[in-house]
Amino acid sequence: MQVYKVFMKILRSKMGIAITYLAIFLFIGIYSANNSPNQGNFSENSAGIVVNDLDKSGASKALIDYLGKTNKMSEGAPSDREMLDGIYYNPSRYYLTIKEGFEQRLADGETDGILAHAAQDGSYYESLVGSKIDLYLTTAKAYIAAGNSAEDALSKAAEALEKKTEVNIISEKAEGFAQMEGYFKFIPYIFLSVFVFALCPVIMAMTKTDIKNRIFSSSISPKRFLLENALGALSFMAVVYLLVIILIPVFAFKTDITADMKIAWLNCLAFTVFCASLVLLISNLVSSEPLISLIGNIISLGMSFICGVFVPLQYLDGSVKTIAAFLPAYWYEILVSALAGTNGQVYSTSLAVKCILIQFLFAIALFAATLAVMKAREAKTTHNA
Amino acid sequence: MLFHNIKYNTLASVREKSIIFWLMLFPVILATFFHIALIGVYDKDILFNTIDVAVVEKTENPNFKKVMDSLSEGEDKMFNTTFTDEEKALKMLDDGDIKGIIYVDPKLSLSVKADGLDQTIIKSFLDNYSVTESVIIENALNDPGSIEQVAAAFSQELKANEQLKLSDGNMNTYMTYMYNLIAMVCILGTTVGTDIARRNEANLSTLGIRNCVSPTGKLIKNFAGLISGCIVQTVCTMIAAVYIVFVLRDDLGIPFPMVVLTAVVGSWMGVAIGFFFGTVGKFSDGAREGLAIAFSMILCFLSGLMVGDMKTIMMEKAPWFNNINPAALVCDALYTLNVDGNYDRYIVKMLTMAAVTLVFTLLGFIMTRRKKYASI
Amino acid sequence: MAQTVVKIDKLVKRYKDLVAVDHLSLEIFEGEVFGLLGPNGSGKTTTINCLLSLLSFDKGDIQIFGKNMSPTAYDIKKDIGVVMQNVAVFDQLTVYENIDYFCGLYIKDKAQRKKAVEDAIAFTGLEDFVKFLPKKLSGGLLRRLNIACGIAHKPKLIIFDEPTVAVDPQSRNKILEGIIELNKQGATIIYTSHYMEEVEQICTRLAVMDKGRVIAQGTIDELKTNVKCSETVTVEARELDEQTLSEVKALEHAFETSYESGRLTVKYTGGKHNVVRLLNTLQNKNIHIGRVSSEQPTLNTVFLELTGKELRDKE
Repeated sequence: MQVYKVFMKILRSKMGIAITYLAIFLFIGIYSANNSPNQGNFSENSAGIVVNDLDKSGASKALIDYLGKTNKMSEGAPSDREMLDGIYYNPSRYYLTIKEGFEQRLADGETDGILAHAAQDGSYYESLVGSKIDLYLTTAKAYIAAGNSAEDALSKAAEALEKKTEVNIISEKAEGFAQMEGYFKFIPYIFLSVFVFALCPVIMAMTKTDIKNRIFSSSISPKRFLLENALGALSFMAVVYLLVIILIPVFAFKTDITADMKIAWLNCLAFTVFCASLVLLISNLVSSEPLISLIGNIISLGMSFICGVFVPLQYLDGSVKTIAAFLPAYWYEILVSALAGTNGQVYSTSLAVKCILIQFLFAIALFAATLAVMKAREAKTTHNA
Repeated sequence: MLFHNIKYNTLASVREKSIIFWLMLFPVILATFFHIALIGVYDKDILFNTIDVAVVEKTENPNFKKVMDSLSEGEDKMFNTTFTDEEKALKMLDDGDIKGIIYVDPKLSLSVKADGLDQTIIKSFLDNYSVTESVIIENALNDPGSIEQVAAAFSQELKANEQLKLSDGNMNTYMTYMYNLIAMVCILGTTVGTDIARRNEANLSTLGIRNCVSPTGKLIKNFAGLISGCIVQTVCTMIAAVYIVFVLRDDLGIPFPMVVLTAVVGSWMGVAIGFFFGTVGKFSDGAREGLAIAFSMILCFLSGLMVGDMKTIMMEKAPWFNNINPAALVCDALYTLNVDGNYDRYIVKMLTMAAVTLVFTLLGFIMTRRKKYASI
Repeated sequence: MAQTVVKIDKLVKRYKDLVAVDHLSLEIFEGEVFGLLGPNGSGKTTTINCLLSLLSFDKGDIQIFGKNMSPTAYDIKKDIGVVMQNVAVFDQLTVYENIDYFCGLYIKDKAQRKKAVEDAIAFTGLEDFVKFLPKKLSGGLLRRLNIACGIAHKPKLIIFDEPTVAVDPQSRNKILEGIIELNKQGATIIYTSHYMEEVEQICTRLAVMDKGRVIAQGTIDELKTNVKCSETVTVEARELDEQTLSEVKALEHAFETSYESGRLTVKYTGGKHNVVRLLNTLQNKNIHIGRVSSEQPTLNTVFLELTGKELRDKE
């Protein structure tokens, strides 16, 4: 096990970068998993509404209460600049100013300009909150038109607005895994980074011609050398896999080991095998560490951006997705979305099999490519000799 | 003499592989990814788009059909409606062709795959419809005479809620990724800056020894190094900016010359910071470069380069840091240029950058002022 | 008397508790090839770094060209060339650009500089490699580039700090010949090394250093005449009896005699015809004589006698 031991020793020098990537990932992954909505019951998307109530009347309070039923409300009197920053960086922010005389003018039917708002122009949230306010005011106006006093009209309007449409969520699988989606969807980026940046330089160092020649002139057989190297790489991958895929979800998130979770594990396993094949190919093609950093960054960031790791699949352009279909991370994300019931993906066993198989096929293709590269190299060295 | 120094320092920098990669190639690659994946998200995720729905009428409701038809017309239409039977509608939902199925039975109900903004909008519309309908019916029952006024109240266009126009800029919040990208190139100038110190300090490299025994003063050599660093940095940020504005054609919301001005000042700040840090401590070349890149990336992370929400978190939790974080300064300067109608905030950001540059340059010169070393 | 180029007076440099240079005094004259000889860690490089005002030191005075040396003594620095042990060049600049850059720190005039750079390239034989980047150069070529960068501005005083460490014998000879050539052209040379053969080969005068102190200085001959042992004679002779040995010991000038596995070694403090006298003594006893050799003292002998240890460990 001499080769294996040396492999681990060299690997130790790459632990810094591996731990950095893992730590950042765990931070982002856990943060986003804790912030993802729990599926199952339909929940409305809520805006963060900041109200500046200058009227402080019964009517204004009723409006605030009404909006508060489906949105997060807070009070404040922000400046234009603060509002601008707020809506720019947070498109679900909605600033509402209830002007003085709101109640009186509503009763008089002179509703023009009794409210003012700031929100991302033409955004979903602007139209969502806007339509709620409009409905509330219209309903109140209707009651006033029907002869009610302003106060009566408002309370009747509030009552009428209690009416809710029944919403059913149709999806075979949704419960349980949805929360973990935010965690699992980042796996491709982190696995690609950690494995490429930590393992490629080690394999490169181990298979440097001079070192290889020295080792092969010792009593160890090439087969054993290869085997112990592979064992070294695999044990590192196994540890990362165990930690990130199994231990953290089970112990940190306390998730149940459902059938969904097992499929997610399998999905990750397929992607890990793909990473192994990629690591092998890169370390056989590339001979300098800076180049590994370049290639590793391009592959990990590129795949992550166009395959739905950083940006949900549903927002990606059709043409981008067409390209992404030729990358394994895309299929990984499809299955994760299907398990969570997001991005318009529907889970089915056949889909799961397809996604996992495709990833394995990519891995096999890369393994074959690596073998070809190795053969070509060997032919070249023997030829030279 | 100064020119001679600048010339060769510049040559040495632009031929440095790590600079070519991290400051020229990497930003272009990252900008491409941002462009492909993020810039379009604004139109799809934040701006309201027509929603595809199917209506399955189990009972006839001509009024509802009329309303749906009217909402499915025109340029800014709300819905793309398909009236169909349940089986087809379910298939469409499965294929992702529609966001929801509206059932009329006779009560309105909605079936969706998952929750989301589109689904919330559909639901909110159905709520509106049901409320309106029930209020009209309720009033008609109570006082048949009022029906006209009530109906009129609902059909009147409401102008109660004015919109405050806060900015003429590009409100695409994802453009901050591009601002942050330009900031990243500026701050990665620390790698160029540390190199200046390394080349001229005898205790940092053998090159430094050779430079120290020459009759050219340290002040001139460091000054030349800084100027060459700024030249290299200016070129690097220009590559990124030109690529974003003219190749990707992303609308930063800022006139190009102002992008240039900001990026150049930001770059110099990066070089100055690197120059100072290069004079502190003794590290191997690889470690120094690694530290400079890691330090830059942390600043960029805190400014929202990797996770956009980070910016909001920092602005709320640690505004003082956001106001001095060099990466955030560049990003925010570009942002204020975009959204503000005036230069008030921009000038503050630029002055802060100038101050940071000055402080670190001075500190660097003070650190390199020592002429002899206790050990080499 | 030639002019004094370098004068170091009672230099002391401490690293915390370690005294790296201990009251070191040296005087180097114009036209000399002055050797600083000593084992690794004896303080040679520290002395050079103090001389160049790179290192701060605790005590002492340093004068170069009769003026006080300081980090800003640019008028002194412009006439000094330094070739360090480690190659100090820009990896990103070509051979020509490197030499031109460093030369440019000394010579402002462009035409003059161009000539100087070309001379340096010719001198070091790098004509075929001017457009190469350093990493494309072999070890020997890299050393030559290192030298070219140090001497292109035609300095009056050139300091070579172990320029031949880890250099193949061929390149080493080239370098040594080059140094002699530079000296012939009028430069004063300071040469530090722990290879005594090199120092014997090129230096006109030297100082031997150990533990931060100069333990001897002078011309090579002076040093050798100062040692007790001026000649060592070795004779292969079998079966010497006690009496013969005591007769040998009693010979004039002989101060140390040893006899081991058929080899008789006799050390002499001086005198002439020592070999003849010894052989005569042995012949008189009818002793069969094999190979005979007589060795003059080397610097190693000098060092051994001064410090009780060999100059360098067996490499």
